[in-house]
Amino acid sequence: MNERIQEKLKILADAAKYDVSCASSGSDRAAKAGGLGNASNMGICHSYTEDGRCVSLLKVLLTNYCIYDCAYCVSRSSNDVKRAAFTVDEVVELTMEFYKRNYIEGLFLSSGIFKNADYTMERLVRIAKDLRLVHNFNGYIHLKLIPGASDELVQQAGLYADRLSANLELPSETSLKLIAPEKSYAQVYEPMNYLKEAIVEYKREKKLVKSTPKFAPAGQSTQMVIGASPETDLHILNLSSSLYEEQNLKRVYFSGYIPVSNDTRLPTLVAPPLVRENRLYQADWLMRFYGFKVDEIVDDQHPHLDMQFDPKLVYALRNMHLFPINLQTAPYEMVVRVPGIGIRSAKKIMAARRYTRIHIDLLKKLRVALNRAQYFIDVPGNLLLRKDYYPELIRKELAGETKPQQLALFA
Amino acid sequence: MMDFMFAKPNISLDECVVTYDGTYEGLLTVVFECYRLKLAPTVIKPSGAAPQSLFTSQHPIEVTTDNASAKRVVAGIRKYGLQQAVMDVYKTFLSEDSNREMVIFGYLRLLFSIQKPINTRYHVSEVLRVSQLVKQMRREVHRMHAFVRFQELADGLFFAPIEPDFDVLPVTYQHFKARYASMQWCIYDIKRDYGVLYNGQTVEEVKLEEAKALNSVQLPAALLSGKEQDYQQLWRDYFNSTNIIERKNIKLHLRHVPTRYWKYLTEKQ
Ligand code: SF4
Repeated sequence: MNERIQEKLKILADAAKYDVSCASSGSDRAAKAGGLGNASNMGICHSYTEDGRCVSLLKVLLTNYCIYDCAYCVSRSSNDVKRAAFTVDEVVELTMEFYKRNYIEGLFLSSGIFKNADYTMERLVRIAKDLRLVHNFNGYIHLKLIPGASDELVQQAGLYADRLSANLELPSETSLKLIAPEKSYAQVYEPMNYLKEAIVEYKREKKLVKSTPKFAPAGQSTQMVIGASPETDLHILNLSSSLYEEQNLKRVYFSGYIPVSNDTRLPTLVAPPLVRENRLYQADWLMRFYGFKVDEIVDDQHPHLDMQFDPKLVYALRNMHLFPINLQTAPYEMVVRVPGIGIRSAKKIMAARRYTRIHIDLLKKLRVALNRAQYFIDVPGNLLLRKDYYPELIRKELAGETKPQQLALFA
Repeated sequence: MMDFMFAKPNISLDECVVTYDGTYEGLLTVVFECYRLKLAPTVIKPSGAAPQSLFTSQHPIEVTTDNASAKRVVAGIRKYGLQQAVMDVYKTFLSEDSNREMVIFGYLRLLFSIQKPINTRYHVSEVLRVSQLVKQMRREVHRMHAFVRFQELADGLFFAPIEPDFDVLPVTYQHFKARYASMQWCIYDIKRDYGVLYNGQTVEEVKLEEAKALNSVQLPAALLSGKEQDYQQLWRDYFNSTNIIERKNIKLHLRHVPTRYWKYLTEKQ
């Protein structure tokens, strides 16, 4: 079997790698007797690529044949690349064998559009169904919804997959029309809305009838390419915040545009906008876990995220009147807003201050990033807090020590 | 009977060295005996750990492990510190930290005097230390969940040798038991020479003679099933195909997978 499969795997993994979503978390599929696998709520990265991305799922395309010609995509019909297609059984076998060896948490399956949307979607669903029903597989499955697939297939996909995603692809419909003329926002929002309703419906039913099957327990996500079109960060973050709030999405992924073609519809970039992508994720993180609103991060005056510093620090610098924070008395919401204090440290501070006075030495022991926090906290022992600190000075001091190459989410 | 063990021990200014057999039950028995005899040890060590003269001029008190006593201490920990304290103390022991005995003793003394959970009292040095060691353990456990690679042997057993920094196997195998319920597998700590074998129903601790010959977590090809090398190769191919050259960031890569874990990764061989 090997050489043929090897060749296919190379082609179809290579074509799938630009999809950035990798999460395997958020599901709660318990192991079944006689079955294989479970989906843990935490998600596990089993390896990391040399660019530091998490490898958690076997991420492949069913096929890279495609009838569409989206300019940003390697698989577009006008592109001269090697094409291949897996059979249903081949994908099932690879998933099972990789899973048994603890290489992966499960499968992320997408596809180019072969023949038409339903023909393709039907095969994706069949793979998920085989894994669940024939092989008793309880690991994680993420299926991509093929734009234009019918409601019945979307519904079936929900029965076997943990997560489903329909990609918006670009942050506005105008840009989408320009770059991917066959696609429309309607094609994406339609299944998204259908799923949103269905997820609520199944949940409600499950409360009444215990035997109701799970339906997309890890919810929906979407992805958009950043830097291939002119939208501002303000526009992008407003869009993603509405996707979280109105569409109930679990995750919005940003993918810094990597030039895969010299199509004239696209900008010529020297390098992919990785810093911008990282800043968007940081902003997204602040909105989802730190209680920030979009307009506290970007607004009409500052429609773009700062490339030099992370958005939490920039927020503090713009709102010096709210600082310094008294860590002994401030509410949790403000403690987590201090640059250098993450959610874990904030919780530790809240717990510890019930028994003791917060002192700079304790913060050191709790491993708070004092190099940043020191400008914004009022605690005994903080000798560095001076009245005459102003934003520009802090920027200058911190600029001396930021390492621009480092792209962690939050230090 | 139950309560005397929580009475405060007399604080003695004398040095007091207690030795035990190096097992967890042994250490818990030490705690029990210290409360019973009102001892305030300054050193607790496995017997034979280091020359005595380093500790003290006194003769050490040798405590014999008693499972019933150990159980009573665990019940006490659970009563006041809940299941979390039971696990935190156990993980602190498994961390093999050179000072683990005294850290645990100090932690329990505080727990038994306050009689409610103390895990957030970070200003107490033993509590902070326990939380740090538990965190270290959690990381290593998580890395084992991620980086353990099963290799299928000729007889169909899925085998994974490991060499973790700490003794994490006792708090790691449950994850694999839940996940690989329909497979037969064995995870073997080649550094500490013991493993956990799952036969499709139950797990048991095993010591394998053959494992002595293993000096790396990658198994020699002769032991493997026919398909095993094919799948390893496919996985390597997959891994190489997922790289995006434009995004290359080795520093970040190394932060996620420090080089000492590479030995586990089939894709890095
Ligand atoms: S439809 Fe999907 S696979 Fe086909 S060209 Fe567009 S983005 Fe690429």
